[in-house]
Amino acid sequence: MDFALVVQTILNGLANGALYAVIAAGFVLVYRATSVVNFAIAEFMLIGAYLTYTMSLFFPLLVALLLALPLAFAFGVLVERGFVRPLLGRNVVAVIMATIGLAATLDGTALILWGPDQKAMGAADISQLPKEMPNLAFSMGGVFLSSKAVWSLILALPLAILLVTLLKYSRYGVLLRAVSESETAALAMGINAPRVVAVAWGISAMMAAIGGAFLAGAAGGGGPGHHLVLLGLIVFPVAILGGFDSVPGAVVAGLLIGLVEAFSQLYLESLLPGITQAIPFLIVLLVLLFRPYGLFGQHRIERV
Amino acid sequence: MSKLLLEAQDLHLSFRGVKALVGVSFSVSEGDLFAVIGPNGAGKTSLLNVLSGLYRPQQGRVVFLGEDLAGQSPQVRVRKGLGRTFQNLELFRGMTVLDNVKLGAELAVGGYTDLAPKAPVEWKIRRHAEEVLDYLHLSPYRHAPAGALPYGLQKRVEVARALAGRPKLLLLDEPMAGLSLEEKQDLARFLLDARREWGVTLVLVEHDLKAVLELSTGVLVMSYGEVLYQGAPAGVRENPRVAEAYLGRSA
Repeated sequence: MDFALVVQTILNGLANGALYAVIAAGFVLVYRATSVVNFAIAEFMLIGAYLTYTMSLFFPLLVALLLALPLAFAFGVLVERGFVRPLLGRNVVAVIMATIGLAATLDGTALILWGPDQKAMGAADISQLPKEMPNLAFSMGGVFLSSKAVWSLILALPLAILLVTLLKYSRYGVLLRAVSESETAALAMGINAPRVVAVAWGISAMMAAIGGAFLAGAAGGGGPGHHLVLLGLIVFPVAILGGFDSVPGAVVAGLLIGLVEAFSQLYLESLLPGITQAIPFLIVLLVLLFRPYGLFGQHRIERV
Repeated sequence: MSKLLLEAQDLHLSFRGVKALVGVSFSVSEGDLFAVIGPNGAGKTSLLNVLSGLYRPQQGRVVFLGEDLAGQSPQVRVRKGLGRTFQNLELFRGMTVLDNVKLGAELAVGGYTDLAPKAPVEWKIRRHAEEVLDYLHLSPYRHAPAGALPYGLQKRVEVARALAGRPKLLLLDEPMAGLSLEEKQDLARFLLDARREWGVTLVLVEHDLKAVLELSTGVLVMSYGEVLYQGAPAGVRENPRVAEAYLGRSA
């Protein structure tokens, strides 16, 4: 076995996994705060990536990404205020159906606003060269890492860890836990529960935007397009493996699935073409069969 | 004549034709232990929800400390000193007893909005929370997850959490329900102590008439959303409407 190749595969897996981790962490954050399964998470990625793209027409890519984040945050808050809040207290199925409807609506809106073709970051049409992040690609001792992988390792991974730390140690984390345990009680403690929930949606949209903007490029073609909606499905295996209601779990699961994908690409893809795309979902099947609460999920005691 | 703390004026509330409150008016003065009693479905919890801002009445006003509370959100009312507990426990079950009470204590110490806790404030909150825990004899359980405690203790934790916020007026929704006689007596003693020690005015919702008549300074009896009686506890038993709607049937 080629040692350098293994190291390279691990790093690439972690790089991709960090993106999954970021997106899934945001997704789980919303689920924890509001018990809403956001089936429009892939569209959150799509919108975030397109916002980054629009910004990148005027600014360097890194600046564009930073500028897109507050917009994505506002978008998340808007969705919560206009779309989720009115359904508060309704049947779970109603809310699920609503987020599926939201997904379709956002898909269509993105199609109208940005068109059907895949974009390249910073390029208004195909005659222009796409903008790139400052090149950080490096190769050392036979290990080669692309610039994109390095960027996602130094941006997405710390971000995911930062979120977990903030939730554990900051005031907002405590407030969010309080709201997720009982919104009524949180209100009775003078906690501004509506704001806590809105912030959770905002953060979730922001995380999805970062993941979306990076994944859009990572999949080839250098920019956002509707392929992101399919890529976004990866959130569900990651969240389920992580336990669905655990943000740290989502981060660990994201990295794990990234690693599994990378190694499958290396060793299995030649034997079973297409297996890499299926593997996360195979993992989900196994998780649901043998450990339904995932890696870090709460064990629920069912009273019959 | 002590200061008027809370005033409900002609409250009406209905849910699609079901009338939960029909012209309910009463007032609570500082230092009172005011009891709201009535059989199940009398509208007691609806009344509390209107007072604490979870429901919006179709008609009528809630005046607290001389200020009309109309349009103010539940969390704002709590910060003004109008605390409450719930009939069906609303604890933060996954958190420890201490963390529950600390969230309450934050209200009293001045909840801070900083992202990272500041040591002196945190220290103050912690000390305040410990004081309340000690007072309610909950210190031995401070590190237990609230949801894992027996029912009676959970009820007491909820009262502790609300008291830690040092409310001027505390609305208690059936705090005695489901408790053993001994636990009831304990809780009644804690509440009386808190009232004397911290000057908390109490509004106690109960369906157990006997439990409150000895404690309270004022009584409101409700049935089907209407006020049957308001006044001194001594007069409740003699009131013919109360006897008919409540005592007569349950006896």
